[in-house]
Amino acid sequence: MAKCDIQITFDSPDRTYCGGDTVAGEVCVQVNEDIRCNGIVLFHYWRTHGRGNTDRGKKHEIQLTSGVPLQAGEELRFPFEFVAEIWPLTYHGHYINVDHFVHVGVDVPWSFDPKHEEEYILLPGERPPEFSGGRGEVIEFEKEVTEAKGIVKVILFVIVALFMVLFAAFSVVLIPLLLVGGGIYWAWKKMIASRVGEVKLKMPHLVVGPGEDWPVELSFTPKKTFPVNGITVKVFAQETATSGSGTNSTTHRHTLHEETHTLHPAGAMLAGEEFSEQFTVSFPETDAWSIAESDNKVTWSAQVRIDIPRFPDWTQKAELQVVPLEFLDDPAHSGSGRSQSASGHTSVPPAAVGTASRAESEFREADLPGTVANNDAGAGESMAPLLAVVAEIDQAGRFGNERSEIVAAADGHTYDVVIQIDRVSTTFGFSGDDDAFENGRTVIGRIAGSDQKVQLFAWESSNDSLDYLSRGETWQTRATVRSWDSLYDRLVMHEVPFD
Amino acid sequence: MSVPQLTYSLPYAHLNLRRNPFGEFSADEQAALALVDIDPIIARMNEPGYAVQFVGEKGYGKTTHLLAIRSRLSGAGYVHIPEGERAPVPLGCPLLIDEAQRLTQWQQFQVFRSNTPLVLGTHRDFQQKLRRAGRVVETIEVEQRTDTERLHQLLNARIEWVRRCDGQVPSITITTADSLRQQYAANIRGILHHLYTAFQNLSEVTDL
Repeated sequence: MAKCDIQITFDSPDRTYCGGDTVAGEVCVQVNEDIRCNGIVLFHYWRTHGRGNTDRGKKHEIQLTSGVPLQAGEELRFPFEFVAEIWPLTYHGHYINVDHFVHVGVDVPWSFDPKHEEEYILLPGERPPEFSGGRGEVIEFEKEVTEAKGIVKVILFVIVALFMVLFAAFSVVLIPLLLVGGGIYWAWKKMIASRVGEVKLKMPHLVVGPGEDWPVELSFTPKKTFPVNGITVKVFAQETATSGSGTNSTTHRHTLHEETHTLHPAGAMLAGEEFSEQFTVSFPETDAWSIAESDNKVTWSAQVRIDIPRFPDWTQKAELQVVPLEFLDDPAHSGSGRSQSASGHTSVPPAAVGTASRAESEFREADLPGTVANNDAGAGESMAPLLAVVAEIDQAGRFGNERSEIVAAADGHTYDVVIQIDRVSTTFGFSGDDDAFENGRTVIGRIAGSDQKVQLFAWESSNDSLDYLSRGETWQTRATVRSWDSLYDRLVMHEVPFD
Repeated sequence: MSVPQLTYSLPYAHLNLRRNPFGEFSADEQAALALVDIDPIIARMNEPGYAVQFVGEKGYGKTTHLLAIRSRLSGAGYVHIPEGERAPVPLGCPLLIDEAQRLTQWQQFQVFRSNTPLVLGTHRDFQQKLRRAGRVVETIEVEQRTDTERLHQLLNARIEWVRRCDGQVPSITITTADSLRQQYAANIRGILHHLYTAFQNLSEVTDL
């Protein structure tokens, strides 16, 4: 039988707290035999467990009692409370787990100390002070850095000096090798640049929240005409856990997420014709926050690729940092999910950028002369002319130009339209004639009462009503049919302003 | 769109465990769990010139034996020599050297010829050299010490070590232990990695 039995209970029945909350509870020590005790101490800290070596945070100490003799049969109760840390958060992955612990130990001299610990769950709460709201660079958390002892510094200096001496001694061989390697790398880059020219890639948000609309901007002017298999961005997340030490260590990797989004489909890039697009990628919902400890890491990255057949691809990769939405000043959300391309990859409609939306709906009523105003959210009589066009499109052949011709015939007519929303995003890079759509919203959804997909460019004046709509809700307006998007099989419509 | 509500349960609570029993354990935990019969070795530590070497491949349990001996003898000096590096020989009695094949010639000469009881973990058999240095040598091939029964005990001891509370926990059957031994021989590390993944995929308490 142990000298003591220790129990730890929390004031929260599910032991769940948010960062910055007060964690409170009680420690109960049941003494089973007479012992001398130098004190009972509570520590709280975070620690990793799983496949990798243990990383841990600073142990915060609370002295529950000082040295007292403990007698068999005694039961001691100590209430405790402390402020929960705000980072890292609880994470249960495959190779890596991060948990927060309350650890209680009874200091028994000249003997093994009875001890016990219990975990509690830490969810996103207060924002860490390192987060200033900026998104442009990965944020580093302050770690406790152990100052190297003097002897270690001397050893490091000797190692560096030895390396420099060796380098100097072998420079006759090393320098030409380095030059050759560097030359090959330079030639490789030149070869790619000879086709794509100078590529400007912007990922304005290196700090991302789950489910956010993540912007990517890509521009280049090809120096030659060349085909592309597509332009893609791959979002990748991985756990990396290291066990053992030094050269006897083993690294275990587990892929958490791998998804390729097509930014631009296969086609041809024409010499001298600028390619400049802004895209939005729907970031996955996840609780795999970026972690960067010594032996346990959760890393996210995004790699853009211009896939050139039978030629080296242009690629560029950036590390991302995924944090809870609570830590961000301006979470960027669209209404919802994504459309799936025929290839099975998730495609992103070009020139669509997401905005935040709320779970409220508003309807805009049409009151143009000659039209039938309809307050219903569903497909009423006023929708009949548009639904007739939709029916024609549905019966037309999928291939060939028949659908485009039907749409062309409907061009210029104004229709009442009720759209069941898939998502709403900010219009960027509008390529039409009318600048009024430039700062408006793009609505992607289906025409109510049908399966017909639609992309509607709305005026800036409709932003207020659209910003509060979310997936599944409906929005009514008037619009003209402008074109047929054969890539996504959808109508493209432009909103008609009120008089 | 509302932020999805994060919900968590305590780690591995569905298995009545605190963590995956086949993840990385600290050196102290490894020593505490070592199911190695070291009493006869401990008893011989007082013999002058005694040397015992645990010979075997990586992952077969050499380090576990050395750590178990270290935990029993508070005056022991222990060193693990990293690959490609030099490490000073510590003071202590007995002297425990892990990866002894990485000792320099001069270190071998000094250590083998001293009178301090010696425990080696090594890939290479130093029996001849130790005898020429005047040592009384005992050689233990760790692979042969890991039979199915011992493996079965070891694996279930790890599960018991991370038990959360009273009640059922998953267990490894003797059949499974035998099957793992057939597949991995005495490569304990490989067996642990195999079971780590198996436990990650467990959704309820069951026997494996």
